[in-house]
Amino acid sequence: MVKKSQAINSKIIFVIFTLFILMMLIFPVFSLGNRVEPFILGLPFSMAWVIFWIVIEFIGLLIFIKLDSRAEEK
Amino acid sequence: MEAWEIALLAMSIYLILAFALGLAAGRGRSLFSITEYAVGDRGFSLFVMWFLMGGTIFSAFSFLGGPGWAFSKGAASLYILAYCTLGLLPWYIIGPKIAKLGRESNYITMGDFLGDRYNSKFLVVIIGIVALLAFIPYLSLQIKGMAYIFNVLTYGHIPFWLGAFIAFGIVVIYVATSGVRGAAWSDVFQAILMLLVAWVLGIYFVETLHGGLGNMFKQIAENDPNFLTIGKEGSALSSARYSSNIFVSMLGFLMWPHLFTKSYTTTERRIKLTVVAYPVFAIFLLPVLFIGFSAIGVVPPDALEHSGQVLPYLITHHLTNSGLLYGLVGAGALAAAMSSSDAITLGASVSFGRDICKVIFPDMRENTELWIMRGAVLGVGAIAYCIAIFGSDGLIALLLGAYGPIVQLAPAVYAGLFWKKASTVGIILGLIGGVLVTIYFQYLSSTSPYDLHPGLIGLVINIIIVAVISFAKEQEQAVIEHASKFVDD
Repeated sequence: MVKKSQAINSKIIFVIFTLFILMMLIFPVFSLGNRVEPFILGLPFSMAWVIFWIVIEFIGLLIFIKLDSRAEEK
Repeated sequence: MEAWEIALLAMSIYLILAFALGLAAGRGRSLFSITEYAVGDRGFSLFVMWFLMGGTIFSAFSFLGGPGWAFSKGAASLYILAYCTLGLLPWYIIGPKIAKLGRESNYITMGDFLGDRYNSKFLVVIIGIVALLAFIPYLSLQIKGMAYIFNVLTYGHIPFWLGAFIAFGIVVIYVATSGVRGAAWSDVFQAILMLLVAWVLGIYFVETLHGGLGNMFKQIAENDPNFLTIGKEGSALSSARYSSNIFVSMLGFLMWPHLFTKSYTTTERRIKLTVVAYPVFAIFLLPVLFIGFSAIGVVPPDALEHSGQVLPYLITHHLTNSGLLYGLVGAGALAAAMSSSDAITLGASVSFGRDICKVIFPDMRENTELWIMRGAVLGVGAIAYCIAIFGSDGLIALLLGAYGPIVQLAPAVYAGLFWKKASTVGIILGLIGGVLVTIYFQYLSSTSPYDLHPGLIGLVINIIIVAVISFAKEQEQAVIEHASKFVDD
């Protein structure tokens, strides 16, 4: 029983994570990144902003899969 | 040898390799099993899955259209990166569930799953028809892409109809013989090739035309500061349209029947791993945008009929002294168009066999069904080919609108997995209502409320219909019990 509620919890956290990344990439939050300067590694800020969140998403996903495999082993 | 001859040679070598790989993929597998043909016996590895999902998305649109967007719409092209990153995330939650249900109940299509969940044959046929209507124009677009690449890179030596016939003919043969396995293994090869080409070209054009990324973007920003932002004066998209585009594409991504059914081709664990590895693919797409940006100030806008020609223009005008690079580009661009068309051709053939024929003639033998599917590869292929070669641009633009409504399948899928009380009538009416509203705002009305994506407005109506009818109608105990098979408590 405990195991099942844990699985559902981790799903809810995943949904929140998905929505969080979505929020960062659409308006209104995206207005923070929606500018040209400063240039980052030669890229306009708006592009660097999107790439930054893609990287964060990737790291987040790595953590999720790690936790997931640990839960499955138990 | 002239450049176009080298290009022709490189493209021919590529086509032979792709053909051989597609045919070899199906060797040693049963020719008589539908599960093998449609979902590869549910056993694809992570390596294949990643390229399969990635290669399918990376279509002629991204190879020709991506640079076109960057060139003509600037920062709005970031939308491509954003949706590619987000589109697969929901799969982490729903993919494993669908894979498990599929294995237990032997599903191979989206219609199988939704028809069983809502106990409605009518729904299966609707989905089959929607899928076919969405697939054929999309396929025509890819075929046009192949023909165009052949024609441009050989300076017209290969006519439009012949280039498409050869390239797409190869796809049709390896899909009909090797099924999903043929599509998958050729995708691995094609995805590697086109990513390679995208990076080589991206770096080459940025360096030779502008002397580096920093310089390039500085110049663009100096000329028009709002070009690299969204929703400002002079920007190509309003912020509402940009945001709703991303949202609709994200939700709609997995609703494409040919992507949805990939849930059946592997295990729960590998689905999750594919999702995890997917953002890397989005990063790999970056140079495609760089190519488009590098054309700004180099390609005069009135030299192009439409923005999708920007990459071919760059290639034929600024890449002429390197025959090898030139040939590589041709092969890479063909690979992009072919890797999505194989998955779509397969998806269309399976939908036709299972969601339409099998429902109308339920007593059909597995063998007959399988041969109908293989036949449908030829049939669908022929129709799409004819539209691509003989249809007018206007016709294709009109038909392409048909895939706008794909996202309307989302409420049926999500309610099916997470909401026991969702009523069948509500789902069907919601789907129809959502599609009609989308079509209205797409074709008949010149504006949409707040400049939102038409699909999003359809989706809101769709969800309201599903919710109202499901709450209003008392569900029978047996129906709820059947639904709990699909919904975890």
